[in-house]
Amino acid sequence: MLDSILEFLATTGVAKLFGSGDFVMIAQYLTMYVIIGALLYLAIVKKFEPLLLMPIAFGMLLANLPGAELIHLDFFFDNYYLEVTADGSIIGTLSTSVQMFLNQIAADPSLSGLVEVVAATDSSAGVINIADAAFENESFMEIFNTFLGDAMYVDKGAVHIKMSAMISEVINHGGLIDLLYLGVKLGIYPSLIFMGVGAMTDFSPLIANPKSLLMGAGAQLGVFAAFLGALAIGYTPLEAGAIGIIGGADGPTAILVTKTLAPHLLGAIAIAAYSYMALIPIIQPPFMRLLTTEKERKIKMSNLRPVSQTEKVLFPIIVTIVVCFVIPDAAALVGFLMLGNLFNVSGVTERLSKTAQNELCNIVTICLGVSVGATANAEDFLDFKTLGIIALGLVAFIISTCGGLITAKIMCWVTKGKINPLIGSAGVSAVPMAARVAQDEGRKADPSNFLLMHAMGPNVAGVIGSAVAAGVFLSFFA
Amino acid sequence: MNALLAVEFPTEYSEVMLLGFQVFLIGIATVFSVLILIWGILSLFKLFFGTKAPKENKPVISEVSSAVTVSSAQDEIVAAIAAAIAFAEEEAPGMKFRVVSFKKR
Repeated sequence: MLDSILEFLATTGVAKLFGSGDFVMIAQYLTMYVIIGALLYLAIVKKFEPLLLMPIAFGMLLANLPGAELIHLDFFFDNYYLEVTADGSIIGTLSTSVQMFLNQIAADPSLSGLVEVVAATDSSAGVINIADAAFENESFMEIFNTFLGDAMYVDKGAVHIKMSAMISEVINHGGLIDLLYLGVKLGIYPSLIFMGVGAMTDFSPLIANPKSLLMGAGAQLGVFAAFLGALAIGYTPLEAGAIGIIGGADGPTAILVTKTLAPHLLGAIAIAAYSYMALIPIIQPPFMRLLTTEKERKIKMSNLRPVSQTEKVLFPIIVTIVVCFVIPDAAALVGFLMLGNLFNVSGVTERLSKTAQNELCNIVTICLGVSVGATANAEDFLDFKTLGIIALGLVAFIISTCGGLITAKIMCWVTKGKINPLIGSAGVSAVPMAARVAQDEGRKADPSNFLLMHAMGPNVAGVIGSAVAAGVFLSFFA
Repeated sequence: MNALLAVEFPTEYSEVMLLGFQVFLIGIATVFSVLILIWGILSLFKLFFGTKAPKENKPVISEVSSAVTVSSAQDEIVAAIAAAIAFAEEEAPGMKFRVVSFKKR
């Protein structure tokens, strides 16, 4: 009886955490609980982006319950399947297949020199280098396909784990959140959320005043500046791309880019992106006042022209064609954004539009929030890289805001004062929060000023601009 | 040389930063180019499908028949009052107010 009780007690989370005697781990878990508490406080009490911060924070809690093991992030990383250690040995679930593949290659003298196993060092992961000529060698490819073809494929000069191998591992050995996380890994959730955003967004202010697109473009400056900054302080190009996109102030875009380029940073980047989006009313106003004069802030803009139904219907179709022809990698975001908008404006798919805006978007938001939050486990989340991401994310937001403001100031000067530069700050996506901030600042300068609809133009232009910026990173690095 | 489960990037700091500047310039140029292209197309929209902006200080509803005008104007007033109340409640939760009078103009 006593043994049974002791056995049961040993399975509890309390025993797994405090019984380990690992004080660093205990401190990490407790710190995570403080962070989770702070995020829940921001979501519930301060109402900062509650629809996303709450599921993200709770997903973090679920991922940091000792012994619960609701998510197995290892399944989604290459080194779970194959890793070359410091002594040159091969470990991972595919180690047997890879070792047999290497043995076969070594046994064939005509293939000598085509494959080289490089052991891991303190500064770099171990890899198995394969000469370019190997992939044109029939004998080599036959051996490769025999031993590794089921789980790996060759693309853009590198060998990758097939998604089918990952899905198989998740289905055979995974849990609920592993299954939910597949929606992130496969890029399903960001696109579906973009469809909902498209259905909810009125692009009329942009169609009526297409000059707004320039401000949306100017506000992407922070994306590329943060990318450069991240590279300068030692992040890899893939990590830097994922960090830079925080400046786009667009959660789904940041998640799509990060899951592709740097999935190990997903938790930190998603939390930074959504937290800063929620803090836009605090982050932006000081820079808006710094970069504009009182006189500029009082500028009243003339009424926008009415937009015809034909224009509204043609807009999503043409934007999809133009953007995706230039940047095919942006199709997953822009295509679904515009599909949702077409549902809304066409006037013949009201049911689809309502579903995309409400039920579907809400369901996907829950799945996305929980699974993204669950990627932030104590061991990986609490390190200097996360601190760097939080700092660079803030810098990206600030530079994006300033980029939009400066572009708007130039346009104000060119149009001889017809554009209020405050609306430039709305060029960061964050719809409609950034436009509301521009409206509030304009009203503070002149209570009779009404900038909201004017600011919605650059605001929705920012959504398109950040999707294009994401496409640029994906086409360079994915 | 291909690498099993790795993507090859420059390792020298100067090469990494060179790559960074290239991506920075190409990225910004691409974003501006695509959005300017869309701007151009939307400007053509205005020529082919656009409607003119209503002139300021001239109520649009004056051109509509009187019966519709009354209904539309009333709807607008109701909508404006409802929006003002909703905004006031959002700005200062718990704030109490009462309507003192309506004046016909």
